[in-house]
Parts: sequence; structure tokens; C-alpha cells
Amino acid sequence: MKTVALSLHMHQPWRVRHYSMFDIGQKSDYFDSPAFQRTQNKYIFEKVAERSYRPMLEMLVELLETTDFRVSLGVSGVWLEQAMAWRPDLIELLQRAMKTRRVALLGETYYHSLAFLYSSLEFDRQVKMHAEAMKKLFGAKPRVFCNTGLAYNDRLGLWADRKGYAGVMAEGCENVLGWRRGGYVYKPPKAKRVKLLMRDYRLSEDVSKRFSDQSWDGWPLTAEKYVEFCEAAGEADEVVQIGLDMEVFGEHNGAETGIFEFFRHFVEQWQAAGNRFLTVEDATKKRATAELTCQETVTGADGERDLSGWLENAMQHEIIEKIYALEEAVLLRKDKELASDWRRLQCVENLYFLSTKDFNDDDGVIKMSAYDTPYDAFIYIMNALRDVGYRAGE
Amino acid sequence: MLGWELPPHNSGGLGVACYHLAESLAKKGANISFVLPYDADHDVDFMEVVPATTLGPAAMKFGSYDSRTVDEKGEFGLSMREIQRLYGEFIREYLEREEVDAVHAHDWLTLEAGVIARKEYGVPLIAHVHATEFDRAGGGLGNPLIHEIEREGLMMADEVLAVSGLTKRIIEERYGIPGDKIRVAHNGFNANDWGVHDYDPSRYKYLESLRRQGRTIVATTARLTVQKGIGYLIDGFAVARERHPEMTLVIAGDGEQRDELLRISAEKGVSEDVLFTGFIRGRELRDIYSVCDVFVMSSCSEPFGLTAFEAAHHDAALILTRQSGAGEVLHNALKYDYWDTHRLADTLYNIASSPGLQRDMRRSIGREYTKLPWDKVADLILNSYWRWAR
Repeated sequence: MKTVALSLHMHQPWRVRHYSMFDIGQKSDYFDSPAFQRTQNKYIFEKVAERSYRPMLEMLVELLETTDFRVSLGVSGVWLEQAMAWRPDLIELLQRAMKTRRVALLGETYYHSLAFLYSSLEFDRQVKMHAEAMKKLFGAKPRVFCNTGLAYNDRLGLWADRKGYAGVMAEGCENVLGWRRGGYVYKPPKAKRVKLLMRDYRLSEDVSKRFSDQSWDGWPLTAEKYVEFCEAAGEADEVVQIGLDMEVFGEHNGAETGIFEFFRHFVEQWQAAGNRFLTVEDATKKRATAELTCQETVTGADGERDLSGWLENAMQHEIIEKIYALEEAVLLRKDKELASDWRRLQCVENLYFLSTKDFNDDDGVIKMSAYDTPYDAFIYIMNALRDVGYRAGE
Repeated sequence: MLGWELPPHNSGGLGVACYHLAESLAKKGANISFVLPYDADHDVDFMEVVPATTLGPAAMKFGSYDSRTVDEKGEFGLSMREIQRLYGEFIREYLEREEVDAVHAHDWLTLEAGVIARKEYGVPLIAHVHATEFDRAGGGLGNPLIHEIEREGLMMADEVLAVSGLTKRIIEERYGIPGDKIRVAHNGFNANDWGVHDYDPSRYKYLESLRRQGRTIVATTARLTVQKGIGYLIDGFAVARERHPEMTLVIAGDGEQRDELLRISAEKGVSEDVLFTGFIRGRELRDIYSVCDVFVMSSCSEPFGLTAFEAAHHDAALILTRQSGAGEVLHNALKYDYWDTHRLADTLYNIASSPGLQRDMRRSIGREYTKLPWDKVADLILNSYWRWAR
């Protein structure tokens, strides 16, 4: 018998509209995009809800209610805000899933931010806000922490330990694991209780990146094949950690690719073969086999598994430094709307949109973005931050 | 290949583009006879240069661009139209004795000769459009005679090559040529030919001292005509300066709009910070590219826009109008519609007030502009040759 722990993540950022310097000090509607821009949060959310969130959540509820399936869910605070505004039916589906008591909720920052690297106070506040939202809507407390983009280092491991988490997630990349196997449970150095769970990025990306890739030799990925892959990945006492964004189902891979059927069959056949699912919380009950050190921050970002997709070029550093330079002034105002706007700007996507790494590479492929160029994104986001500064009296 | 000029006897970009294109095509095995309307020595070993007349280059002093004066007599008593007739006669003579696979004609200047080859000798005609009369007229109507020549030539051509998607649209919309007959062949840029410019900061003490004080130097180089949209540029600059006063605009070039532009900058209250250099070329032009932080191409209609590449080569950040061909191939630039002075102002303001934005734009464009050499253009055009060659 083999074991898989599957985590699914739900998140949508608040995209900044084409906010010009003429708006600074005049209006602060950064997130209300006119219809002709690709920054329409409502349109995007509703589209993804229809294509992905709703059909996937319905299937999860059904599998949870009728089989021995167990799953872990990460729901960002900004996703919840948008769901509450436009698609409350999704929250009801999540609540039904929670009722089965086979779901573990993941802890994270409410705003899907990199606050951990820049302001530990703000990081704590955002984690707390998220935990409170989980409690209020789903009556559960996250016991396993999963930082934005799986960003992890020893400091985060110790922080999670101090805060009493049962586990913390990290990317199972070679430079952390070394010769060790990712399916075992580890612990950060000097930690007392917290367990370190390592995502198997190859198995995860077989689905998220390669499911529709016809040049991949594993294509087409059938449920049978994936059951084999997962069985081969772990020994009986290991827990194979698979982590995926919810949008992989229906959005990145449309329904016509058969991704939904693939998922259903995988869940059924995995169990039929005598294997089982665990939540990440269940996984933390395993004994830690060793200490794992991770001084440099690793992430789940494809390619380099580091922070370079978010924090590499000068624009990205300028934006994030400006954000946290405003912290004191913003919070001193005790203005809820101002604080919320400032925090929404912290979404990691606002840094990703500025990345020049893959922009116009040799194949002329332009990465997915809500803006024409990283430079346009910079102008709008920086203008919005200037307005935040203006409102904060800076 | 039917051309009108080649360096060093060129009055503008057409001769330069033809030179690089022919060189890359020849390198890939094309056997080119390049017909010119004048007779002169060219330091060219990759193709045969064929003079269509016995006139010297001095007879061509009217240039390739001023389409309003096609019937005025030049230095040697011949107008441009008369030279074009001689050129056409020569093509007849030439095709009587020589066998060619295809004729590749550049712009309206040689298009009539191309039509002679197509009609009378059945030679496949590829018409290469670097600019249409609509571009040269800059919003005006242009010369009806030239429109007629362009229309007929483009209709007769087996295939039309346009230097940008923008030019392709003009050909489709204004001349009614079906889109599937037109291919976009953007111009190239051979960074290696340009080498490193040894810019000497001590020659520009004033601008350099402004720079040291933290000023952002914005520059443009163009003929000062309505087509280049410099009036809008000054507008946008003035608005940006209200928010960020530490900016200077350098306008290099000359033309009939100069006095008007001087007046506009005075009216907007920015004349102290708008510098007009007059007409410059060569070393001084490269100095301007080097001294500026940001280069703006503000044209209302720019079939291609080589200056954007030249500025990128000298490490400037780029702002281009959406009405420029260069903007179709250079992605690491900020773009605006030529009339959208507010967006231009926002862009200038942000570049001036954010060193990070400026640095990343310069770094990225510096990597990008080298990836579009003439060799790639030649591949595309060879493909057309194979398709049409007899």
C-alpha cells in the first residue's frame, strides 16, 4: 500500500488597472478595471470559476462524500474576497467539502505575499488574518503552513515550529534533499515539533506542466500511468506529496483535454489498487527521519526553484522596497481601506508581472501577464503605490 | 534588384536598407544585379552594380524622399521623372540581353521599371515597400501621380513585401491589395557593423552636468516634419515636467516644422529645457544617442524606424509610438499612441523618477535589438525568391 497527500491551491490576485499618474491623489480605485483591459478581476475570476473552480470543487465534494478520498486545500484570503463578492456558491462548495472532515486547510498569508522576507510583523499579521478567515468560514484551523509560492528556508521552519504548526511545506528540490528521498517526513534544524513536508515537483508537474504537452514522452498521461508513476515514487512508509494549483484543472488544461476525467479516474484507481490518500496533516503524524537544512530560500517556481521570478530585476526590488517602506505610515492611519489596498498590492503576482526573465525570449513567447510589457505593469503598480503613499500622508 | 541609391551616395535609409539586404542575400547564395539610376564607384564585391544611366550621383541631388518635386529639373537638367524614364528604358534593354529569375523593386522609385519587366518580359515581380506615399505625405494627400504608380505596381506585383505590419495595413486599406499577397519583412539591424562608439563626455559638458545633477535626458532624432509627431512629444514632455521637473528634452534634426516646434515649447513654458541641435549626422548623432537616457520615436506614421535600433545600440531606453514598425519587433520598449500625450507623460514621468525601470528597460532592449540581424530578413526573402523564380 502506497500513500499520496494531494494539496490543491486556490488563489487569484487583485490586478491593478491601467492606473495613470493623473489618477494619483484623485481616485484610488486601483482594482476596478474598465471592461477593455486585461486586468478585469471580476471577469477573470468568473471565467476561471466557470471553467475550473466550480466543476473541480463539485467533483472533490462528490469524491469526498462517496469514497475514502482525502485532500488538503490552500485558499488565499484574496481568493476568498473575490469569491464572496462574485461567486459565493464556491464558498458553499468548500463548506460542504469541509463537512466531510476529510479535508485539511493549509495556512498561508492572506494576501499571497512575500512579507516573510521583508517584514516579520506584517507577515505575522497576514497569517493571522488568514487563520481567522478560515475559522470564520470553515470552522477549522490550519495546522500545516504553506508559504506563498512554496518559499521556504530554515528561518520559516523555526517560525512555524514556534507558532505551533504541525507541519510546513517546501519544494522537494535536489539542493535541499541531497541524496534523501522526498517522501519521508523531515524536520528543520533545532525545531521541536514541526515536520517538514517536501513536494514531489516532478510528479506534480507531470500534471501541471506536461499533461497537455504532446512532445513529452509520457503523453498522453492516463490515470493508469499516473497511478504507476505515484506507486513507483514512494516506498510503503513514505507519503508522496503532490501540490497543484486548482486552475490546472479546466483553466490551464481545458475540459476538452480530459483533465477532469483523468483526475476522477486517478482518485478511483489509486484507491482500487489498495493505495490511500492522506491529508498533509495526517502526514505530519509520521516520524521525522532526519533534519534538513535549507539556508537559501527555495521556492516552487519552475526552472530555478528560487526567488528569481519575483525578485530579480531592479523594478521588482524597487516595488517591494517601496511597499514595505510605506508600512508604518499606512498602518498608523488606522484606515481599513487604505491598509487593505496596500496589502492587496503585496500579492506576489504584482512582482511576477514585472519579470523580464522570460519576456520575449528566443521563441518570441511572451509570458502570461495582464499587461503588454513588464514596464507597463511597473508604471501602473508604482503609480498605485504613490497614491497609497499620498493617502498615508507620505 | 532595382534600387535607387546605395551608400555612400544615399540621401536616407533606403540605400542603407538595400545595401544590407543585398549583402545578406548574396551571402546566402543569391546572384544579384543591383541596378542604380546613376553611375559611380561602389565598394561592393558581393554583387554586380549596374548603372542605368551615365549620369553621376550629383545628378540625383533631389533625393528619394521629397515626392512633391518630381518634375523639377535637377542639377543636370533632368527631373526625377525623366531619370525614371531612362531607368525604365534601361531595364528593357537589359532584359533583352540578360536572363533573370525575378525582379525585386524597391519603393515607387523603381516600381515602374519593375512593371515593365513584369508586363513586357513576364519576369516575376516582387515589390518591396519601405514607405508609401501616404507615409511621406504625413497625413496629407500626397502626390496623386505617385499614388497611381504605387497602386499599379502593387497590383502587378506577384508578391509585395512590406517593412512592417503597419505598412501592410496601409497597402491593404489604401490601395486595396489583398492581404494574402503581402508579406511583412521587417528590416534588420546588424549591431556588429556599428561597433562601439567612443563617446567622449567632455564634449557635452552642459548635458553631462545636467545628468550629474540627476536630470533625465530625453532625446529624439528626426526630420522636423508633422509626420514625426514632435509637437505631441513636446506636449507630453511639458505635462511630465510638471510632476518631475528634472528632465531635459533634446531634439536633433531639422525641417520645415522647426519654428513651430520652438513656438510650442515656448507656449508650454518649457523652452529652457528643450534643446534643438539642428541637423546632425555621423559622430554627433551617435553622441546624442549616447548622452540620452531615453529615446522617443514619436512618429504618427513610421513604416519602420531604424533610429530606434540605433538608439538601443547606444544603450538608451526606448519609448515608441504604436504607429511605428520598429515597435512591432522590439518588445522591451514602452509604447503609446502618438496623440496620447497623457500616456506619454506618464511614461516619461515614471522613467525619470524610477532608476529601476530605466535600468531594466535599457538592459533588456540591449539584449533584444541584436536578435534581428539582416540575415534573418534575407531568409524570409529568399523564400519569396524560391516561390516566384522562373
